[in-house]
Amino acid sequence: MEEEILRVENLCKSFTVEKSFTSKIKQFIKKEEPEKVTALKNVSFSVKEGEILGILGESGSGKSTLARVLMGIIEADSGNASLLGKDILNASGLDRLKILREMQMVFQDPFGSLDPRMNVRQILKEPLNIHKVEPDGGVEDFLIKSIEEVGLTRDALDKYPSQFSGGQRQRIGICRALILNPKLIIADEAVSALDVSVQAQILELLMELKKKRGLSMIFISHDVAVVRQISDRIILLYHGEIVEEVKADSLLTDIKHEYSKKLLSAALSLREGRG
Amino acid sequence: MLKIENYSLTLIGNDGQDLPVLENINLEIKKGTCLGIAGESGSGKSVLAMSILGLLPKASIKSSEGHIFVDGEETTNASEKVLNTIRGNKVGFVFQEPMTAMNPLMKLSEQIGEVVYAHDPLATKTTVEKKVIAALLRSGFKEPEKFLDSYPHQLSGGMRQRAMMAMALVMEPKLIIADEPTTAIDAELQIELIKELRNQIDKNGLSMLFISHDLGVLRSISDEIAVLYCGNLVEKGPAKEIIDNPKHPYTADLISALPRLVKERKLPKSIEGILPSPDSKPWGCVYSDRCKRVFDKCSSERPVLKQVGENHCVACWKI
Repeated sequence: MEEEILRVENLCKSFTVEKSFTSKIKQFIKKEEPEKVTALKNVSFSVKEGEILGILGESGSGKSTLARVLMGIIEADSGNASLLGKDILNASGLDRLKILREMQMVFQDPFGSLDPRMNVRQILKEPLNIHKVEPDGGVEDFLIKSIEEVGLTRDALDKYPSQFSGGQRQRIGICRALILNPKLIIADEAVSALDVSVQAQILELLMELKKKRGLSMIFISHDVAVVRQISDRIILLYHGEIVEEVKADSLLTDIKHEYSKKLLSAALSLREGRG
Repeated sequence: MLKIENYSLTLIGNDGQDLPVLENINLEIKKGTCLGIAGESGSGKSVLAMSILGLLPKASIKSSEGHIFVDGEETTNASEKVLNTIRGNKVGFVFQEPMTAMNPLMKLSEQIGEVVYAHDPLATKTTVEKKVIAALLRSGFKEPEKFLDSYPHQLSGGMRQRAMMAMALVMEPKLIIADEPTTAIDAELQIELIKELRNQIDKNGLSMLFISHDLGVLRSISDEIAVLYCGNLVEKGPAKEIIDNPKHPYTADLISALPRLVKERKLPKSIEGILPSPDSKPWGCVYSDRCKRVFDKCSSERPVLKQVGENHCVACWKI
């Protein structure tokens, strides 16, 4: 059996509904529990080495919350998650930093996720500095090698994010995520903001990197067709719960939950003019 | 309904350089039909929509040539006064981002009512409300009275998009321009909205210009599709023809770049290179630097639209 990279068990997260000041006071006086929205409910899954796990869901299904909880951007209410056997939700300080080196994220918005006042060299160096990594053969050579690996040229290093197109920026985002040579990449809607021709380029790049480096990936998207193309296994999220887990090859034929069927038929009629 | 004749537009870039964003566009929308415009970001599709209603800032326009007629009335070089009688009245505009297109401090009734007052300042409160409710009903609100006092942030994404539709429909225009109205929403809602819009065309005889980068969406709503690349029309024809039997290499590449949901699972084919910016277009055919079927004539001379079938035109030297 292949090695398990990430294991998530019974992950739960809910958010308190923001109320106006007056209704907060009323609540306090009446000693009511604040109203809560469940974003994740008992989510359990695992990612194996070299596997791409697709997470599919519509807006509000909790897919981005899941990514953010795993990355430690927000805290989970309960549940466990371990990366390479080490707990990531309760680790703190240096331990966390060490573990999270193995897990990096590619964000949705290629415009918002790169600092406009840093050039590409600074953007790519930042993770190296944080984790105090000194690549063999010098930083500069390493950066050039890395940027060429994602299909950009070395003169890109001196440019600023505003000088690139959306697809090129997403390449920089991927390069930044890969620079520490992580085991697992979380891509949250990484191709949704791109035009189809560029989208295909980025998907090709991700597949190529997966093959070359043996990367594992969690690929989050609302687009049924994209997720099906790139993933090995697919999880469907609906209102924070996993309603279906299926091999990508059998997504069209072998789903059982009512919601997954509805989602699929909507996608089919948009993409293929059927249903 | 809408006629665009030899329209070219040059804008002024940040450094003062000329940006030819549209070149020799010829399009026509007949009454009760929907024309889809397909193109990637930067192809000039939104600029085209905005220039129909003269919405581009005057200071950014270097020069424009050709004519645009809306219901027989010319909008190119028309005065603001004339344009204002057309905007919202004869032509409704549905924008992509309802959250930025709506005023966050206005209730739905004011938001939509504003359009009515703009064209009829003397309208009474009751007639305005009647019109607003009728428009909301037409755009698929089940109980519009409930939402009249809602602010945009209190509505869900789908409802906001419907409210945008109501704003466009309230003056009962003859033409609707929809700029990527379904891009930011879930698939199921997209289908509902498309049905709603198609209903307006089939039942109420509206005409529509529907702009999208998604060929799947365009096929479900349009009668005809025009493909825009780098400010040039490269192909136009009946929607089904364009999708099932594309003639221009760019259209064909674009379709094979779409992720499919067919039995066989394989990665979509990407198009190499990037869309050139308007000031660095190739000399000959605009697609010549990315095209796989390129030959010497392609890089020296720009092809013009040629008829290849009934209503089907292609601009390519290979055809």
